Amino acid sequence: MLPYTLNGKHGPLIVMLHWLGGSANTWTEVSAGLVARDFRCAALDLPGFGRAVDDDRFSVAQMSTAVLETVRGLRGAASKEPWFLAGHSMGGKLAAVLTRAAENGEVDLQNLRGVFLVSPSPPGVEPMTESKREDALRDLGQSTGDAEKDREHAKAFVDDNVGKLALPEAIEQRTTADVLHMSRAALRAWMTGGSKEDWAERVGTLSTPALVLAGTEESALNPAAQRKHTLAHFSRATLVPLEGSSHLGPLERPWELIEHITDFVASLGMSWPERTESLPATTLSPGFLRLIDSDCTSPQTRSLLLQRLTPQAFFPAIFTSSQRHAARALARRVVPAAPQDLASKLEEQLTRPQQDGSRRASLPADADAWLQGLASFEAASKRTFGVPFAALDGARQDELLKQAAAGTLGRGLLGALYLGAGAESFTPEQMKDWFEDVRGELAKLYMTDPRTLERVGFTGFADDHGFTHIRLGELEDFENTTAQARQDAR
Amino acid sequence: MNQLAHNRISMRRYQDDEVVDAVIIGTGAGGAPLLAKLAAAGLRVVALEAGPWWEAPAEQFATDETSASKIYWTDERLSAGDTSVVFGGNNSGTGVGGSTLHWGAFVPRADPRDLRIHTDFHEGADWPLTYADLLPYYEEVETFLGVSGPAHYPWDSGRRYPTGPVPINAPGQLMQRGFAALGLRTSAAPIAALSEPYARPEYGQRPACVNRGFCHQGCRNGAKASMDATYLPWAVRDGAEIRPDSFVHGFERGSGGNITSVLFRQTGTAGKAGTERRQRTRAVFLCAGGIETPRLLLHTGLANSSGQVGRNFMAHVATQVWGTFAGRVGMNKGFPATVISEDMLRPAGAPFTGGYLVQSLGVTPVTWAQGVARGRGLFGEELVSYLDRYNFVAGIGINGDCVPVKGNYLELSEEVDRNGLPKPRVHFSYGKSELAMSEHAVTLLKAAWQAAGAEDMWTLERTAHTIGTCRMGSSPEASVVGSFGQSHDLGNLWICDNSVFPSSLAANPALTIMALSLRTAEHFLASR
Repeated sequence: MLPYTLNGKHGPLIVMLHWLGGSANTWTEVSAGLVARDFRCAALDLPGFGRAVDDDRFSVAQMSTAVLETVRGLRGAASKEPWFLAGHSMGGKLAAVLTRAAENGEVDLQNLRGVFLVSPSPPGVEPMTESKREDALRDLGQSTGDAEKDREHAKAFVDDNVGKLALPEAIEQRTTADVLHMSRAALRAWMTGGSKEDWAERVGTLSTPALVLAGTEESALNPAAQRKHTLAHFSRATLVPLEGSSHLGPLERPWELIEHITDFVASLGMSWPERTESLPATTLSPGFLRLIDSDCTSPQTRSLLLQRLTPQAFFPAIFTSSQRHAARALARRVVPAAPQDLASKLEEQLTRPQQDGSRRASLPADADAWLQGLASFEAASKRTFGVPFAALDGARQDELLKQAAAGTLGRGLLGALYLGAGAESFTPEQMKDWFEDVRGELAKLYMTDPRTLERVGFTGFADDHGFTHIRLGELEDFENTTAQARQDAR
Repeated sequence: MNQLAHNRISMRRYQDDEVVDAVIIGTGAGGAPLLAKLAAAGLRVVALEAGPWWEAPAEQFATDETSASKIYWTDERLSAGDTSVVFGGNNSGTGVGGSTLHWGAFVPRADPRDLRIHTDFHEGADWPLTYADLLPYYEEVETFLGVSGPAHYPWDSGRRYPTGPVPINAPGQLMQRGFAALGLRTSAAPIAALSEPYARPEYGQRPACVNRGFCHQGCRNGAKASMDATYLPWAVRDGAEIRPDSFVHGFERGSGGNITSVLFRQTGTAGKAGTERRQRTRAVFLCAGGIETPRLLLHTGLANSSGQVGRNFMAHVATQVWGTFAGRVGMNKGFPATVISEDMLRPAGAPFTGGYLVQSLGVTPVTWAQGVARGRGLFGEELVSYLDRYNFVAGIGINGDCVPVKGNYLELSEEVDRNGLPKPRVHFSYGKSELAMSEHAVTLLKAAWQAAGAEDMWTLERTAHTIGTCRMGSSPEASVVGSFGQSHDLGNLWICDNSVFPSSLAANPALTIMALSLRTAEHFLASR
């Protein structure tokens, strides 16, 4: 078996295959996000990389076999559990080969529900210029003997594969270290062998649903090239361009990948986690749940609280998928601790005919305001960083949020001259007003959730017998019990 | 079911084409006392209420802020100007009982000086009546509702409340502590919720408050003197009819110009379409509040020869200061505001018009979280970790006078809502006086909170109540109604709600609205 990093305890398994120069680390951010959405992620180290640096099974067939063995080990022989395969660049070619094996009835790969390919190297010969191959072989094919120079080459290799938005420093350093660590023989083998192997006929046309993502800033493997070289092999594929991204999607755009993968899996009709009757019990402590169930809480209050713990079917109605991604990103920055997807809650709320009864005259109706506000963040993000808002890391998103709050983000004097996406933006004043509404609405949705009430220690809903201990430091009997239970739980 | 719902079973009903003595539009603090008084005098009266009828508050009002939106007026209102007024749950209710359903029931009387603000400050407007004119009605309302308050009110030695104060809660204790340190007086606040069981022949027995603290989400046991627990059961018992889900959108007038019938749409229930109806009547009492009253008059073009309808919009300066305390506060328990100070009604040398009341504040979590996110401007980890402090924070806030000015007014916008009427747009900006008052208050409240042990203090700028827009006055050129609420233009149209206030007063408006309602009723009955 190949070395792997497994995260997550529940949900469908995703097996992840990295790029030339990467390792299991390539998927760190994507895995963390998907685990939070109840997937299990197994990121592998391919032969010659990461912890498998001494493994020299470099041909496409050898690597595919090594992956297959690992999948068997991870899932158990002949497992029927649904699973997914993700492949980045070089890993994408292996994913296509394994998908063919799965469709051919390989018993250890059965019930493969979909593949996620990020800037994949296609099944046929990779369209790469000879000069690029030569550059890579020259700079990385062997050590220069000078550690500093090696490091420079590795860093340049990473930077050359990044689009408009530079990688956050920590990620760039980690990725450079991965490149330095790889077996140089593995690089040579891929450049002169693996990437030139033609598997086009052997892979043929696959019917497994595929999500293909490709950066618009990439030269050889851009969305148009992927349509030609990769989509030809997948009869049920969705191609999503990553605007402003280059070749390192999992590192450049982890949040977008998470959103696209989640949406894609949902579009297959899969619902996860399994919805069970016991869900509320698993998300609140037993003591808190007992209080909700007790006669201290009125029946109508109890029913409202429990209802909020039950996942509701979500019927998107207002946002497009990219607007939804931006809304989720925004909600995550405003209320990072939310126990549920506040953006979906909010979108559902925006479809109702009656809102809160109050609107600033400077802003359009609530749903329109959201569309325009998100468009404003989008335009500002593209103007400042060259990529969509959802593609930014948290620190950069916060930069824009702070500008919105301060009344310095939006269509100003300069904005008026900007005739691209920014022409539809709010003025800085409107942006400030709207962002205040956004904070208020998200805080409200957050505080309404019983899981938040428990976190905060609020038990005022348990008032059916009234309160008698209302002075400083006083606790009702049940509050003593609940506080004790909270302590015990910690 | 509450007493009102029991009385509804045998409620008298009038035909639409029957000419009743009076139609009252709205069943809140303005309409309900009138309805009761007129019915008790044997008049045939119909109340039209835009909202639904909550017959069983004990089952229908959950301890939950989101679900309480059903008792808030959520037809959209547009807020323009530099000081954005927040509508909806903040200041407007709906349902049989009107805004008193979600009311805070904080019932100080107007200070006598506030009624002659122009005389004293050369700004704003004097009332065309005096404190002595209002006093008997204040006393009648307080006795009828069973207002709880201290045995000795520090700022009015002659005042007596029918029941003792409700228990002072943690934020109230902190305000006592902070004000004592500054050498300022406090008192248990006058509150229209019962501190002990109370009975009146007109509405029967009501139980004491049990300190749930969710008063703004609807009182479940009738301890709060909302109109559905007090004046309305009396009105229905004595022959009044209340029609819920009835939105008034027009009037018909006779050859003499007076109103002859009221046009309303009864909204459909359970999938049935609404029906257009018309109630014939001899008189109309418009008691729909500071927004809906002028909106209806502007829409119909009535009673506006003065051009004053919608003018002089006011909102109380309601700045709050928040702080975190070392020990547990638990501000959700007990009445939201239990302690008052009237020491700042005329602070020496203060650079503003009138003055302000101070009150202790306990706020429920969702409302508080919204205030934090909006007013303190927090987001991200800062927001989440501050919200975690909920059980350790308490607030202190003011209710302060506001000067009516030309630039603050209500108009009809170009947008139409589900009722087919244009949405109202309210222009409101603080002037010098309001800005100075808020600043003065922040300094004082922060000093008090610091003395009480608060850390991490911050200020929430906000306004409260919708006031003015159909000013009462003696001159038909400069006001919409006379001192008894009668329209200068139409002999059979009366207005009774916070729209008639010539100045905002520092006091919360409901008690004064009820007193005016009784006064209008008495005058109307005497002049028939």
